[in-house]
Amino acid sequence: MKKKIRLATCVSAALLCGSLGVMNYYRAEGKPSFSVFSRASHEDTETWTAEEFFLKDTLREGYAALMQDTGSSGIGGVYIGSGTLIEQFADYDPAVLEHNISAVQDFAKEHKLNLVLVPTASQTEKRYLPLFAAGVNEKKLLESIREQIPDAVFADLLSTMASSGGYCYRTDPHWNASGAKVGYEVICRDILKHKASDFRFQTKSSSYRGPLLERTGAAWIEADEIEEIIPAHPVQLTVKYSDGTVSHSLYDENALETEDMYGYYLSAAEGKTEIETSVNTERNAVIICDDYALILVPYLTQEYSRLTIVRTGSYTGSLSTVLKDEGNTDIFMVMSLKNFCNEEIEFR
Amino acid sequence: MDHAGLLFILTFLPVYMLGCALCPAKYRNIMLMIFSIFYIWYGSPLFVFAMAAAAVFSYVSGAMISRYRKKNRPQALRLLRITAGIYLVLLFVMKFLGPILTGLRSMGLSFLPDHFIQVPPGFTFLILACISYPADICFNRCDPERSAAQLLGWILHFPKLLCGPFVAKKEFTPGKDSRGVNIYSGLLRFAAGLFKKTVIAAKAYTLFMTVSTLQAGSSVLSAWTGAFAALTALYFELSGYADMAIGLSRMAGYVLPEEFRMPLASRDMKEFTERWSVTLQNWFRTYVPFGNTSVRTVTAILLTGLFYRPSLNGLAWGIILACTALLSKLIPERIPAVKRILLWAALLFSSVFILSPSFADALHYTAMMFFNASSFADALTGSLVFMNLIPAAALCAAVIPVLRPLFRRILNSDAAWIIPPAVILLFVFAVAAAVSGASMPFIFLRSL
Repeated sequence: MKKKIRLATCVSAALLCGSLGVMNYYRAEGKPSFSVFSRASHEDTETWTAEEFFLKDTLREGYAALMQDTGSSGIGGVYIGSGTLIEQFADYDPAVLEHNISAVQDFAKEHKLNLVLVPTASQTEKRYLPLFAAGVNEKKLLESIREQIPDAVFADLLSTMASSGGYCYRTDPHWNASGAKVGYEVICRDILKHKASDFRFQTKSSSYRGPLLERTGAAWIEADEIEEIIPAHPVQLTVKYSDGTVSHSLYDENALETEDMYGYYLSAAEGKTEIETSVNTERNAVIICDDYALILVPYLTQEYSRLTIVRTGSYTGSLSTVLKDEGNTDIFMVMSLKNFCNEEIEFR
Repeated sequence: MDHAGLLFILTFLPVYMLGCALCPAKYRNIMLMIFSIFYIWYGSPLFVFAMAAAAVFSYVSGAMISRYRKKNRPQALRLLRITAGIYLVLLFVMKFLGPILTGLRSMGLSFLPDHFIQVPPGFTFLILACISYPADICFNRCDPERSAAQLLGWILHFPKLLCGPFVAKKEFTPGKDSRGVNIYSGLLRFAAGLFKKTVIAAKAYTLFMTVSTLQAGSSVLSAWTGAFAALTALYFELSGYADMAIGLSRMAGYVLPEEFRMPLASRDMKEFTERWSVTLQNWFRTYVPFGNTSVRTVTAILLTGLFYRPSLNGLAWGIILACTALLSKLIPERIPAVKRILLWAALLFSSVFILSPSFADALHYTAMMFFNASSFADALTGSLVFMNLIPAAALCAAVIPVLRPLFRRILNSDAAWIIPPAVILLFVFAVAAAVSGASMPFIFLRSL
């Protein structure tokens, strides 16, 4: 019996390891060139073996499932929740936050600023988190930011979004069309002070496999839908992107053929984007934002004749020149709370 | 090549196991030497000749010292000093000069060079073997080896090169078990080391790094939890690699000494120093010939820290444990609890120092453990503990040694049938962790 167990253990272990090694050599792609006396070439081979492993997806999925079942603290900064992936927001840079608060407060003293800070999925999708998941107390953090920027008008998204769920993609850290709709309704309630318009959604793709899937390997998580946001009263519009491209739609169908389907909204516009609408409200807005605002824009087109979208990270021009344009009635800053705490904002 | 790396497990290990199974006993040393040369060549192709030359030099100097050791002892001692001096200069240049110059550059001496020779993995233990051999001959602890191949086989023996355990030449002899028993028991020991490394140490290290990189600061309790994780990561990483080395040697029939003898179950610092990195500390006690027992113990601890990590962090590890060893002697035997508390405090702080990315990071972390924290406790503390129950349980098992007897009972019972599937699952897990990017290279791979 003992001899049989010894034989079974040794033979099965050697066969398993050896066959995986041989099969990987023949089935994996992009073998690196090999040089006998180059250490770098040996390191490339090691990296290639891990990155191009022929059973990589299956093994990663199994590993992710095991991590979920053992109550792990997540993989690659992502919690594997119940049916959804939730990016962790466990930390931020206090120096960056302090700088941003100070910059926004100075800005708000000179301009009437509406501040929309979008809570992360770890707050809005709390019910799906693993049992002992922990992160930054976003409620406390938002209250602290609010106290330190008394001159800005806040849209209180957290209290509305925390009561329900399903406001974020399952495989992408951004809020989805439903989440942005809640954001729009809160803006109407807290800032514009009127009733929100009606919208319906039309699914354009049901196969969006966002970046969180790649980071965790949790392939069993259902793919996301990308939805077109259709207003009850459609408007004509002209979108002028920073590269000079002009479009008459807020959506980029080509993005649905790519991996980053979130680019469907405004072609993941960078720099400055100008949108003229057929809405005759005589109200124009400047939106200083990160990419969270792109999915909110379809809702705001119901409210404004002109929208100027300025991306904080990529716009290199002068913001004060944009603001000096005549006719701007509202200024919004729309950012993810996580980005607000970690990415330095400069008002040029 | 990392023993827990994908390439090692999928290519080197099965071929090595096959070699151990097929090679007749009289050619075993030659087979081991071939595998060792391939192992060294793969880790550092250009150094394979230098390392082989160092081994040959040790063979020649050993032969010359043996000629003089009886009839002209001063000459033998002179030859030993010259040989050891050459190796020590080599070790200093390869391992310590880079960190020293980097430190000086950070202090403003920017004209100093910033590119140094990279220490090839295994270089340190190779040098330890090369020094110990002529010294043992000189002090009549062993006779010179007639066969150069036998000596090279011992010096270049690949399982122990990465981080030990060190084995003296006279103790490096094949065991008496059959080939089948050797491969099986070696494989089980290797698998145990792999488990410690990939399941326990990797998770504990991630936990420690999570706390230490919190920019917004951690709570006091989270910082202490992170310190326990650092100790868990350090112990299971080092003992895991030692287990893998012992297992690999065992497959070829050689029995390496134990490097860690349940050190976390120690009652005081004295006991701990006799159980932690046993062979490395013994090497320092034996071959660094000055002072009384206490001085040798303190020197051994300090040098062990520097050998783990040749930097201020490694030195701090050694200083903390050495000071505790001296302090512990002043505490009366009748209050063992104080000795144990002192030992654990030293272990936690020293682990934080040796695993922190830099000395400044270690100081910052230590401050967080007392006063420079955001709060006393937060939700993260519970999350850190409950989401890392495996390392937490492993640390408890290391303090109260229950697993080894349990494992022995399973091996000798009818439940032994679970061993093959368990080993298979472990290898699959190790591969899955590697392709998921969850495994990490050996913490001190660059410095050992």
